[in-house]
Amino acid sequence: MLNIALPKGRLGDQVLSLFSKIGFDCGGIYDGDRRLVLESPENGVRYLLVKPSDVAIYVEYGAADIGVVGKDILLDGSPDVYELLDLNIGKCRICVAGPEDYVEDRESVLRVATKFTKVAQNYYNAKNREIEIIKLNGSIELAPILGLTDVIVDIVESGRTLKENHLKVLETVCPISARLIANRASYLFKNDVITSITEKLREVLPQ
Amino acid sequence: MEQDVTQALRREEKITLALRALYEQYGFRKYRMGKFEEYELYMENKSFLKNPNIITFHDLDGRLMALKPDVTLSIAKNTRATAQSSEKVYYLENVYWLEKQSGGYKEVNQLGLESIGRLDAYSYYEVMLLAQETLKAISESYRMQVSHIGFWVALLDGLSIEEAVRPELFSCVHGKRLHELKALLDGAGVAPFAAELIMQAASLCGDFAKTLAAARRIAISNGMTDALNELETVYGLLSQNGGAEGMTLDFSLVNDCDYYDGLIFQGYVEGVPRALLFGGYYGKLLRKFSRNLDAIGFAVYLNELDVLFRSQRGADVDALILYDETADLSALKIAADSLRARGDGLRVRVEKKIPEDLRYQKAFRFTESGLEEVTGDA
Repeated sequence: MLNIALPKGRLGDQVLSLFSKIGFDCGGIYDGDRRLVLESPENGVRYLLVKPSDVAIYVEYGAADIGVVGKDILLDGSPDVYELLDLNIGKCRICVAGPEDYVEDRESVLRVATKFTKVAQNYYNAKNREIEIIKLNGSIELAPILGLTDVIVDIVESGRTLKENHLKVLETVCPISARLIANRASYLFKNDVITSITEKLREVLPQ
Repeated sequence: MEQDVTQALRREEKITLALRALYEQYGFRKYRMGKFEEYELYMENKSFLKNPNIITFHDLDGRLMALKPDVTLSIAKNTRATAQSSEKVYYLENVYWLEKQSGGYKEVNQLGLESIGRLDAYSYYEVMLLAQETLKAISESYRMQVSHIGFWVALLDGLSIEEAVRPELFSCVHGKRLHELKALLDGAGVAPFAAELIMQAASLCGDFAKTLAAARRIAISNGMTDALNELETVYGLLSQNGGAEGMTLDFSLVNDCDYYDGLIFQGYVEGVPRALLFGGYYGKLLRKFSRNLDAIGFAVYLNELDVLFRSQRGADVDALILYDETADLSALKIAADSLRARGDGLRVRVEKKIPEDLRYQKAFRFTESGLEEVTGDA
């Protein structure tokens, strides 16, 4: 049995649809209910529906053999896993955003609100810019509005939330999409099935 | 009373003892070292450390000391090996690492061996054989990934790939992130034919002999051919006694490039989600200590075995005897002793009440008529 960790929510639904395209259907057993484990014994797979930020942990620690996770999670957690495929779905960007009238004061330490602390630190380290990170777990957009920080580093999909809060994208840090990852030991011990799934997914990927 | 005292050992301890005996059979001698090392050693060789977070403290004489995060560095620094006289040692030591998830330090029990001197492919074969035997001793279902850093360095040198690009390049290769590797090479302005060769090298993975043949097809320099010849010789020797089973050649294994600069290998056993054996050639480290010698070794992290054997662990005792306050203690003693005498090393515990966390094979109640086995819930 191959354990596959998928993120709960819209991305998970898209991935389940991708897997059904390559013959690992569980459409008959997934009806949007609250179950966390979906089994498809005839296909030899078990889907584990977990919090998106936990997918990489399930895979790294071997509770799941493979999984699908956003690149943002991989960048921030640096799990020791194989990243076999860019699935070209769940596309968005990690951006620096600030108030619409924002002008950077380069003499001061830049205060940054984000939940992606590692991504933000690496980004500004590469620019040799001294920053102070304030970690927030949600409603990041509030931070510059209330003067808590100068800017935010966060995921931007359509940019609507930013606009509604009178913020704008200042810089793009990196593009994000969903990735197929594999546990290093599983890749060796279940190589045939993992390689087969990777190749089949490659053929049906959106371009 | 003569009895096999090893029966009382846990499985991990038995494996450790068996492996120590195996290493001694190949002429490796036990190396014992102090618990601490001067911090300066790690400061000067930070790039050789897998984990740069170190626990430090001041000794009474003011020196800054460290709890060892690594054993090989200490052995390499203090080796007595010369060009004329090699040194083969094995060790069983604790090292201290920062654990990523908890953010706290943990003690890691490490068993390993090192071969230092003027070495050749025979020495490399012996160390890799012992690495493989180590994995086999832990589990019949094991895998060993092998690669060669020299192959990669020769390829990148031959294609004049800038040093600045290499850390990210190796990171992409090690994570099998071929989609990002392609973008990295394009972004770095690497010529299309060179990028194609690197992409091919990064994809080389699988059956040892077939992958070796595929690697030969993209060898563009003597350095690459030398690396492949070394792999072939070692593989040939291992194959002679069927020892190449469970081995794959995987050129995506390129981590710890600062540490290793030749053959590199990692071992896995089924049931443990990450590599538990790490090894390779580290002549570069010896050169850092001004010793122009070869060195190869490996370490296995015994803590990982706890994950593997936890589910397989049996009962704490073989028999539990329950008695009450009316029992004749002298008769109880005789009954317990006679039960112990039934089997070699049979573990018998005598209690009035069942301890909460005790796992037992059988339970007996002691009565006037002797021991009565309790069936069902004791």
